[in-house]
Amino acid sequence: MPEVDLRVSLAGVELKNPVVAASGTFGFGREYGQFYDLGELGGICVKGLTATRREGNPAPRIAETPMGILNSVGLQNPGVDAFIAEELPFLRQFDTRVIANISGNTPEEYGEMCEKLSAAGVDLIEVNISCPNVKAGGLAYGTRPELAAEVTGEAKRHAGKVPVMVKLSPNVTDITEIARAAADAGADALSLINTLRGMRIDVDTRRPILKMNTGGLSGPAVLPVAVRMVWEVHTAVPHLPILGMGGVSGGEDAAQLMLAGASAVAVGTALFADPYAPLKVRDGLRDIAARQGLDKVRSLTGAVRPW
Amino acid sequence: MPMQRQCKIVQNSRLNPYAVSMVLEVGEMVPGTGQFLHIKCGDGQLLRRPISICDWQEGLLRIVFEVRGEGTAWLAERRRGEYLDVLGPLGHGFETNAKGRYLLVGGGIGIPPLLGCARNASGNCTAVLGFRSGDRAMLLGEFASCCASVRVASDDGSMGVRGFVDQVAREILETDRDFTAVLACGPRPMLKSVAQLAREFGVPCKVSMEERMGCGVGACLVCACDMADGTRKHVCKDGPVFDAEEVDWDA
Ligand SMILES: Cc1cc2nc3c(=O)[nH]c(=O)nc-3n(C[C@H](O)[C@H](O)[C@H](O)COP(=O)(O)OP(=O)(O)OC[C@H]3O[C@@H](n4cnc5c(N)ncnc54)[C@H](O)[C@@H]3O)c2cc1C
Ligand SMILES: Cc1cc2nc3c(=O)[nH]c(=O)nc-3n(C[C@H](O)[C@H](O)[C@H](O)COP(=O)(O)O)c2cc1C
Ligand code: FES
Repeated sequence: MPEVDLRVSLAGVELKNPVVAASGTFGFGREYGQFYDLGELGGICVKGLTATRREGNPAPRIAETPMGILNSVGLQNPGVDAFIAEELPFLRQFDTRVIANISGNTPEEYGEMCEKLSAAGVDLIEVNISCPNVKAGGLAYGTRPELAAEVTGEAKRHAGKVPVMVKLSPNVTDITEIARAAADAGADALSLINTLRGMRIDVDTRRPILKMNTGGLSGPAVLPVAVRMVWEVHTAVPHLPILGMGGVSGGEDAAQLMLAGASAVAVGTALFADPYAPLKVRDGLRDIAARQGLDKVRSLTGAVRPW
Repeated sequence: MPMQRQCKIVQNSRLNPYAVSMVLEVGEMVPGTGQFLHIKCGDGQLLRRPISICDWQEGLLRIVFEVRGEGTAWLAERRRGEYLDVLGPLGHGFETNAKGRYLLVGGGIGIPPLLGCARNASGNCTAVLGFRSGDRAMLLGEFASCCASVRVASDDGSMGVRGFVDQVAREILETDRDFTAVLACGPRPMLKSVAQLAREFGVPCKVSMEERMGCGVGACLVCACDMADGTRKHVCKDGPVFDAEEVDWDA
């Protein structure tokens, strides 16, 4: 089979291949780094960071659902300063792109975190305006265009040369509205989808499995929603690169997201079944491209032929 | 170092109507007592299932589990010669000392990992094993072969003393508190009582906690356990074995 060029570009940042580890499913890389060289990945989105340390929500924080999971971790993390001091130097040892994922309670917090991360030297900042687990802030930014624009603008003003990627929530009536608002406010890229709000109840105890009652759905069950939303957003703002995610566990899933308009893909929940899932997705993508006679995998992006 | 491995099943036997004992070929995997495996239970279940390491000897690892839901039901059906997709060994286990004298307190499916502790210790251990009823009893002979004394309790009195293991443990500690540590595994209310007891008698206590898991390796942070200092640690990576004093029992 002919060599396939796996390199892709995301907001001007070159990734050696289109497969990135999804935020919150890969920690700061240390754990899965025991299984393979992190340099095999196109990039790593780190666990969502906040201005100060957070302990997150009480357990249970996970429930299994048909071909999916619900989680309610609630942004447990050591805070942006501890990340920069203790985790970033470790990640920097590997030949991969480091993407810092951030959540704030106020636009100013987003700005402050961007300034610190930009000075510390990350490759991209992923602004999470969509995490459904935090009562204050989080959800509102992702569901209202004017708030999404405000946060995007604040992040851009403080991120210096580091490109800003805004992560969109699927828990909205029209995702293109938010996508356009972020684009107009200067976002360099978009990532989607975050988790879909869901709930599971134990019929015998009549209690929700999650201590927070509801949580975010991810895994194979959400793939068709992700493909549809990436396609809609790509159609609405075709000039903005997209990091597509939601339910990817094989090359075929990744190819669907790319055809719908994604420049690169993130793999999350699939890791829990198989630590090597991102590498299998990468190899699967290469095989599909080769089978189709493509010399570069990036020519899949946006190449869907809708009816 | 944890690894992913296809492990051949070399034995699958029933210990009672509920519990299955399985021996796996784990190759170069070298587990410690109280660590666990994260096992893929067929394509129908997205998440792996955490199962404690019961015992290990030169490439052969034993697990003992009860059927609870679809995952463990699938696992119980696997036959000799089939392969399991296993991640392990995972977590921090019991740090047992070959010269140690331990009071082992186990309830139900919390009993299997204590067998490995008993075998790795001095032969001078006491085991207190609790079951819901006599028909769920397991591993009694094996504990007897490596412990100085084995005491049994059952909730319904159908075997051993009627009642809970912490009552039996109290009786033991009242006359003899010369133990290196109390090692406990079982349901949370039992662990809480045992932790209180150990504190009352001034004996160090380690407990093995359970929580629902995702990755099993410390990356996804779903398996939170509330600590006495107000932080939340993770059962799969910081545990499953914690010092009883570290845990916030009122959470
Ligand atoms: C560290 C650790 C060690 C364990 N060791 C053993 C053992 O040696 N022997 C044994 O019989 N059981 C053990 N368990 C419990 C065992 O993991 C559960 O019984 C099993 O996951 C149930 O899966 P299921 O599909 O049969 O049940 P379901 O109820 O259908 O499972 C649904 C989901 O809930 C999770 N879940 C259900 N019960 C538990 C539980 N008690 N703890 C954690 N997750 C749970 C499952 O993993 C799955 O994700 C251990 C649990 C932990 C955390
Ligand atoms: C346990 C868990 C924790 C997550 N934490 C974060 C987070 O901190 N920040 C964020 O932007 N997304 C977070 N996500 C969402 C994922 O990054 C991803 O958008 C989503 O899970 C869909 O992809 P998947 O189906 O491949 O998992 C988390 C998802 C899971 C399952
Ligand atoms: S199960 Fe993922 S951190 Fe414990």
